Amino acid sequence: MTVSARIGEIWRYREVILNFVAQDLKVRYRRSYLGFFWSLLNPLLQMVVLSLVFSLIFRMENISLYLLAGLVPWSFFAASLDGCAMSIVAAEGMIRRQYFPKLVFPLSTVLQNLVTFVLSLLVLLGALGWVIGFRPSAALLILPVSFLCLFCVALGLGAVAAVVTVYFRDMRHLIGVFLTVLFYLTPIIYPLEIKRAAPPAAAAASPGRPAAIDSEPAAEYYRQPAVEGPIPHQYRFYFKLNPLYSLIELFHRPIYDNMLPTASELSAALAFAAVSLGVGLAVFWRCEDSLVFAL
Amino acid sequence: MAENHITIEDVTLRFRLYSARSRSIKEAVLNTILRRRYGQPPVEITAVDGVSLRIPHGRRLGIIGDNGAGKSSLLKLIARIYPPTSGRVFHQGFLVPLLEVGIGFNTELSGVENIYLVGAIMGFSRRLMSRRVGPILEFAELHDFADTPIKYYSSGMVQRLAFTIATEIDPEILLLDEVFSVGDIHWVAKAQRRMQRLIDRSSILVLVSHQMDLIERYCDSVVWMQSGRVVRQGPPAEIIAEYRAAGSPPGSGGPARAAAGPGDTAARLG
Repeated sequence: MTVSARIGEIWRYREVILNFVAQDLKVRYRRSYLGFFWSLLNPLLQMVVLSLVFSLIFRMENISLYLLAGLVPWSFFAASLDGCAMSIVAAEGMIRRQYFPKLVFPLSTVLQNLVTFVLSLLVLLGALGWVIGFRPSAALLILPVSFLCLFCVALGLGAVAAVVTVYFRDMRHLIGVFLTVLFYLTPIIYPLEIKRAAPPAAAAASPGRPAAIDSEPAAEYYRQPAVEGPIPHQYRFYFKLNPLYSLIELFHRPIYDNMLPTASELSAALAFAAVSLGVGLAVFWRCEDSLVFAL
Repeated sequence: MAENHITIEDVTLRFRLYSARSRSIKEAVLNTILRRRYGQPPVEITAVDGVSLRIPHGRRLGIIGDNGAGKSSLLKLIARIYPPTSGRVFHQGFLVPLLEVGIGFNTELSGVENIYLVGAIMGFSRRLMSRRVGPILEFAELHDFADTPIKYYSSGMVQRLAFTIATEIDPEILLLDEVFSVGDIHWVAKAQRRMQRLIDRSSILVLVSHQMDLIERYCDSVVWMQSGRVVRQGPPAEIIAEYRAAGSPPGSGGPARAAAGPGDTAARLG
């Protein structure tokens, strides 16, 4: 089948996908008093605890906001990958009784997580944002692109994880370890670079060429070291090679730094999203027909 | 628009049965390091072997044969659940496979929510299903439990609901395995009438059964399968008589279990 035929087939199964997403969300939140708020509680508690701990280690402005901006997209990615790994195996009963384009299963897992985490980001920023130093800016308009990139990466890797788990049922544990390592290698609970505090008004006038550098507060400002951080300068390059770094920066920049991601971050994230989605779907579609025999 | 049909062109289905072992990364890595062969190598099974059939509009086809002859595998090939190893299978017409009851229920959700869910899985839009919710609940006698999560249903109630949803909308092509059972005694007569109506309205019926009286009642043509091949094909009375005369061929106990399909352990009724 051609790629467009496969995509068309997925589109014809949209009602099935919507039903899977809706039923997952319903089941997850129905039988608890806090309902949807459970999904807020996890990033919220993580943010509070980590803020308390790390504010002792790093001197960083609005550390809670920084943590929140990274933890929510990370949780989306991790939950999607973990959910995708089990998605085909869990649908065994359905797959053996009726034909499905199998992508329906990882796709609904990722979509369901997307709904949860987009909502939790909106609610957390809306409810707490002002307190932890969130100031909305036009840069936030990039966030749909950020989520789209992360969605593509999660679906691409998740599709592969779903296939591999059918053949090796302990894959899920390996993914858990992989996610833990990746979590600590990605600047989420620590900053790679601590930007200095916002420049005083005089210096801010022309950020590129500090024409007003002779004014006293501005001079003081530019005497400070440009960027600090817990990671020594010579190693930062390697951290930036991690594709997840650029993806998470797509959230840090607009939410925490009130600016658009840099061109290199954006292009790295887009490239990684395209490659992982392309490779992931190619692998998945190559294997999907034989999955039913291995279930 | 072309007439409804099922076309099977020289179809072969082979698959491997994996042993329960060596299905983990741990085992795979250990086996590689220690250069050992653990357990038995996967068994390759030819479930369907070079079958060609054309099932035209109006045909009521019965498939008979011993356990492991490839009957259910052929049904699953037609339903696209199994992709053929070689050859081609295609059909024209809206197809509903009734192979095992209970597809896709989410036990945490209520009866009504499951009606929409299973309806979507079977290919019906929410709009279409919304007009069918009432009739389904009524026929399944579950009006009082419409909003109860089905994990609190008795197994009979679940079966009634599953059967009713699956038979609510008339398919053009109906694939029926006798494993698809009808439920508790009190309800059987009612369900059988509904099934009869479904069969009457379908344009093509393919029925797999060990019960020759069922085949004789519903079918106008019979295919006799053995070891994945079509042995004989013709009018029911004739083929059934030949099949009975042949008796049980030697060795039908051995490969039969294995070739029933991967993990196909559903208890057969009747």
